Amino acid sequence: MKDPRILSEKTTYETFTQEEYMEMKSDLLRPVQTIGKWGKIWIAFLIMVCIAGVVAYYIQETRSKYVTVSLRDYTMWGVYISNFVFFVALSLIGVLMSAVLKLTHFEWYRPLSRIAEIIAVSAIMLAGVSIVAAMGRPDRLHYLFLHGRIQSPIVWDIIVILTYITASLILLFIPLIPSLSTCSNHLHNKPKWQMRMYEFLSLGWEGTPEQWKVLKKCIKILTVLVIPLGVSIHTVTAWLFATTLRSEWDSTNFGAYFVSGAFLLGVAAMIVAVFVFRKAYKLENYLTPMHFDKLGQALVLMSCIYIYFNVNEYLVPAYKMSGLHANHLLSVFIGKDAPLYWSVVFFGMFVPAILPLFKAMRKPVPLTVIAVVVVIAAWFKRYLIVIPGLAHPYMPIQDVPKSWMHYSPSLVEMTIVSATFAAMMLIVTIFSRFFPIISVWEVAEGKLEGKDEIINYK
Amino acid sequence: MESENENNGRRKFLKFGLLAGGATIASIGIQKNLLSEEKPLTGKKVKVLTADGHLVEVDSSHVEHHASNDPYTAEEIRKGVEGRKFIRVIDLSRCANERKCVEGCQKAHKILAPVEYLKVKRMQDSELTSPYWMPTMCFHCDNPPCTKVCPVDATFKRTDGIVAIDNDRCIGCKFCMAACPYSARTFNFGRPEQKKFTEANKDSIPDNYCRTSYAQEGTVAKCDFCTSRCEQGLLPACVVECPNGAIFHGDELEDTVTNGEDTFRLTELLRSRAGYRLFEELGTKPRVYYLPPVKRQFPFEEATEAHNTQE
Amino acid sequence: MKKSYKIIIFALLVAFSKIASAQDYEASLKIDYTTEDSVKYCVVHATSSDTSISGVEVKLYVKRLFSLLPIGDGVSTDEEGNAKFEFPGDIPADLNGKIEVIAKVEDDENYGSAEVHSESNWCVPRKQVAELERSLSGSRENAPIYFIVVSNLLLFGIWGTIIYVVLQLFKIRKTSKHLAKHK
Repeated sequence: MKDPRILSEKTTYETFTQEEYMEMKSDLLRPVQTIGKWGKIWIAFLIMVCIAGVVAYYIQETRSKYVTVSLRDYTMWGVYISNFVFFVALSLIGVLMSAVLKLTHFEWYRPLSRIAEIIAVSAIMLAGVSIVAAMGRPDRLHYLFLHGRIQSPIVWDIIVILTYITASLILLFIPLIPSLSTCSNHLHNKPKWQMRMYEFLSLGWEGTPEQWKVLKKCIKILTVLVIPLGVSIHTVTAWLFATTLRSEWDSTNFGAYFVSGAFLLGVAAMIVAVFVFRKAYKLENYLTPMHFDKLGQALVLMSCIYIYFNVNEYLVPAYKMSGLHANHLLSVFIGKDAPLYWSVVFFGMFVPAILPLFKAMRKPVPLTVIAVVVVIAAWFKRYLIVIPGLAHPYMPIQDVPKSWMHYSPSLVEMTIVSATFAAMMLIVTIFSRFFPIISVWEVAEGKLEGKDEIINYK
Repeated sequence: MESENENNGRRKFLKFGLLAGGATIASIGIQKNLLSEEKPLTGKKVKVLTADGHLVEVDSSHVEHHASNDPYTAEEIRKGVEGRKFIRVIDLSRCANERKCVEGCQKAHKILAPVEYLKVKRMQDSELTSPYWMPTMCFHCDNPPCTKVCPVDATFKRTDGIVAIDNDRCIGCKFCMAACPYSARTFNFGRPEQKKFTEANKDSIPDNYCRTSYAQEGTVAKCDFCTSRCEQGLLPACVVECPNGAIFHGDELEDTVTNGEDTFRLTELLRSRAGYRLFEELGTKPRVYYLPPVKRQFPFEEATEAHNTQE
Repeated sequence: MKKSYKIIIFALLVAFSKIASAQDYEASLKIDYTTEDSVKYCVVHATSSDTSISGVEVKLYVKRLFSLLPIGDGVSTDEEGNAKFEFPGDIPADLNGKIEVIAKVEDDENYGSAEVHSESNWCVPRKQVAELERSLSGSRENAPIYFIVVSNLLLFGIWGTIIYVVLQLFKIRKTSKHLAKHK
């Protein structure tokens, strides 16, 4: 913000020089060019957690699940499924932070879009991993394709998730093409295979007007396509619950409720990611306090929408307190799950709805703290949707062993869940070490077009 | 997984051995007729070696290890019994929570507590009304929410009304368990005691044996209306075991249900005794009806003992 | 000791006399079907060594898959040896389109047990087992048509777009001059 280059540019952006462009390039390519000590430690740490997860999964699959996992007949969907819902929600970040902002011409999307898209892609992949971890017979995964029934919401989910992964990957790739050619032209001292990869993936990009035209068109089509796809993946995920005959999930509201929650999580995750990239890769000139300010405002908006859906989801049934809903509602309002439930309501909805109203709270550090709290609360929110619902079926649970009545995830389950998080962050980290995490050309283009709000802020 | 493959292999081996008529004397133990029930002939002939050295051809039902005792194959389980539609009526006034049905069922399907296909629940509709015991199980709904959600066609409705599970197909997603409002389904998490028990009793033919034995590890199991017994015109294990005759089983198309002792016209019974189905409002159309617990044969007694305390 | 001895002897005697009496007279049954004023009756005629026997309780059943369905209560035979049962007209047929009617004398003091089977047409046709319909809860082959159509339209629409975009990308490659030079 204090960068004299930018200050001078405010009035003279037409004179955006080649020199400045080169500086920008080197800024954005720096994380790819060199990996510092802490960067390596971070990657090593993530890999270790992933290995722990693989070991835990090996233990889970080779020994009795009755021993390694706390799932039982009543709570047969546990933390894996809630984690799956969380990751699907997280993957909507790509829709909101890239596609929606792009189409509605919020120009400050430009440095954020690639971060959002890579998080989306990695989150949806780990959502798939979470589902496989939850399966009783992962060796029969291919049956979904051999014997898939189109009437089953799981099959819809598989279809939309695969479609969304494909569309997101392409949408991540297309704006990367010019950056790839930048990489192959400007990076040095890199292994030969890496340079060849850039060369190959850049599809012979030369930046001719023809090529730009095709590129822009493709981006536009996919940007439009990815919005309904993203909404679908989370709506169908909500339907996995809403299509069952369980009172606590029996809601016409469920799809919209899930999507609104995903948007809140998306904004919060974006704030955390922007903060980390800004600090770790020294991108203060591109990820500015302006972004935090805007994201803080978005956080308030999304929290309000989410609160609205939660009121519909919980308070309307609570008003009626029908016999079918009473068990579940009372358990989350005043029963065993109440402390967790009210913490989630407070930290996951009211904190982000109220605190960022104050300008001081939209500064990078305080806003990031709020966002971290929201992300954690969002994870527990999914837990609260899945588990207490299962623990209160229509038929009373009677005469069963203790472990059948109460679910708390086992060590194996928590290790695998931690590993999915590590794997997600690992994918994002590795990506950002091979490709510029901020789209050089999109930022430059915005600057050239005089959209100084991209990196500047009054 | 391994033991299942082993099982398959064993089955093939046995079939082969029997058909070849080789030295399979060990396996020609004549089927003992339990409770004086005649096993109907299967029509399949197998060659066996008698003790005095003659090779004779007998109906496969007379041989202990014959195919009709093996667990159903995927094709067999999908085909409903022709011309039948099985149905059940449970007379709540006769249930005294003696749990003989539960135990009989567990024995017939070779499952160990705490897994129960059939559960007896203590129900009480309001504080002023009297509690009663309610045996519940898979209701084999005509609009089954479980088969609706199954992604791989592993659970399905058969023409004879039975909702069956193909255990070689099930991927263990547990969606059917989430979808069932009656909590009728149970998952084989591979409880070590159960695994040992299954392994030890692979070849045993328990009382009221039913060919749909317990699920493979990592798949779903549930009450199957004792499919193979129904097929043979034998009453399911729980019906046979109930000392009070609370469970009536029958063929809807014959309009008859029986508990083994008393036999009634189904429609008359349901009309005269105000039969109802559980959670009719959910639209699942269960194939199990209940007769309200009026004019009880036993006063209600609280269960003093918890049965499934062992983890 | 002595007392129980006597009791056992007595019990044995009673049992023996029962067996003896049952073996002495054997009853045989015959089922006739008559219609009076369009009410169907099943008449069971009981005889023993060609003479009609009276005062024997006869029960009438229809064979069902799992058990025998009793038709009314037991009826004692009259002087002519006949037990008359009103026969319901709405009993569904067996799989072969008929019903098997069974008359039984069960543990009679004098005649022991006897039974007779008879096939009858006095039944209503069985309801046909409906074929499994196309429905949401049906199997993979029985998915509703509209469902298949709509989902395929969506699938082809979306994947078509994706494939179109990918093909467009190859255009970028094609127009590249320096790639062309390499070649």
